[in-house]
Amino acid sequence: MVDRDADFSAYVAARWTSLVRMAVFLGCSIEEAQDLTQTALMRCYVAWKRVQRAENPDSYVYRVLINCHRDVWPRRSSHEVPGKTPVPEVPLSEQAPDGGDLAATTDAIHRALAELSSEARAVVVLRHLLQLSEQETADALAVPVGTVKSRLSRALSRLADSEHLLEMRGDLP
Amino acid sequence: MTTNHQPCLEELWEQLPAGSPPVEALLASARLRVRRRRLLASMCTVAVLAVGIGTALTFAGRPDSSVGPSNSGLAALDVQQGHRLVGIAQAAIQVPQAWSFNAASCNVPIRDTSFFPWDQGCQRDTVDGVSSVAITADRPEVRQPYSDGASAGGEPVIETDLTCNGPAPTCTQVFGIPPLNAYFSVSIQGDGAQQTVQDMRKSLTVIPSAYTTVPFVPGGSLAAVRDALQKSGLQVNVEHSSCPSTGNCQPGVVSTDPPAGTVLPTASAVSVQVLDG
Repeated sequence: MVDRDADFSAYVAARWTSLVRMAVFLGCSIEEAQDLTQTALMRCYVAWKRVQRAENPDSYVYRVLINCHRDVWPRRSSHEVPGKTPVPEVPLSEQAPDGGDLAATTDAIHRALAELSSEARAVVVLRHLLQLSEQETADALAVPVGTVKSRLSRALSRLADSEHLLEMRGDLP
Repeated sequence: MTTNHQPCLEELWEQLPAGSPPVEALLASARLRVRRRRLLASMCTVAVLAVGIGTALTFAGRPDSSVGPSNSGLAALDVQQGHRLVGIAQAAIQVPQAWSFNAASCNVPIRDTSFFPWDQGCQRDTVDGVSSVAITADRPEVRQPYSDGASAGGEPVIETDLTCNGPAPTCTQVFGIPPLNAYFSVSIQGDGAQQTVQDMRKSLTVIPSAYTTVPFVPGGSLAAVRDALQKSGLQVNVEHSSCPSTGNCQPGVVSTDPPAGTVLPTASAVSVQVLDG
């Protein structure tokens, strides 16, 4: 139990950022992404032996995150009005210092990827942004390597024509 | 992707802050989940043994007995496969086992769930395609009139008409047992919604005294939660964990394990998770 806790804690510390970013790129707000990541990591803790024994633990965890997103977040389309809210089961992490930039960044991400299906987004994140191998990406998505290649190719073609990315590029130094 | 777009998407990725990982609190919650699974597994064993012993005692010394299923206590625990009991005080209904407990934000269910509405001082838009049962001790104020319905466990029941609206459709009904201060507002969306509401209404039952429900104490102090649990005939174990130094958490009672609404044998132990500041 102690080994599991230490191993799990180290994994969370190392992978938290990439998991939250992945959730945002899948379509969540930053708060939803933190919530989704916590849900996925708790599921992994319960099956931690399986994670440790997996050929690629990262692929396993990313797959749990993607499944959580598909299962738990299919219809979320609204945001809370700030106010007194129940104590969360797991506390949220610190917000970005500048809430306005954060909102603009997440909005830009969602607009840029709006034309992609959730499967295509997952391929872009895993293969292109997280730099997993084709096999690791296929393992995470539970699809053949050929499907990874074709999805990525189509996704990148669509992104190449994305007006939102063209606009963003214009704003960057 | 063309060279022009690569830096943009990658820069968006790098710009996105994720916050500090809530390692300690996450570990505490994950451990709680593991304990919950083990507790539920052992509770199932206890429940099966209790029913078995209860059956043996009921029929002991009655060689000519034809009581059978008229023992309402045992019949009330005859839970349909794939369902579980959820309730308040001594009343419960059956909901799908896959449903969540208390998955609601600002009293709006965010996924299929049973939940306890309470005054949180916030608002949010509804989430489409979600089914839920809101459980309350007070009779909900609704537009439709209440009428007398078929009794449950010998107790009078009041209910509104079952109504369905929309193409999805969404079917709703409110029913309850006034003497037990137990009311259930059911809202089911999707195929088979009407049948599901009817099934939930039929499953309304009075829990025998050998069982109880984990009470819901909104925003309560540890003392209030402990008091409510003990008044319900449950034993209390308190588990403390610390807010991480980089976290943004509110000290206090976070949750109970099992969660509020769970039907348990009386004198079962309930863990209360407390976050210390």
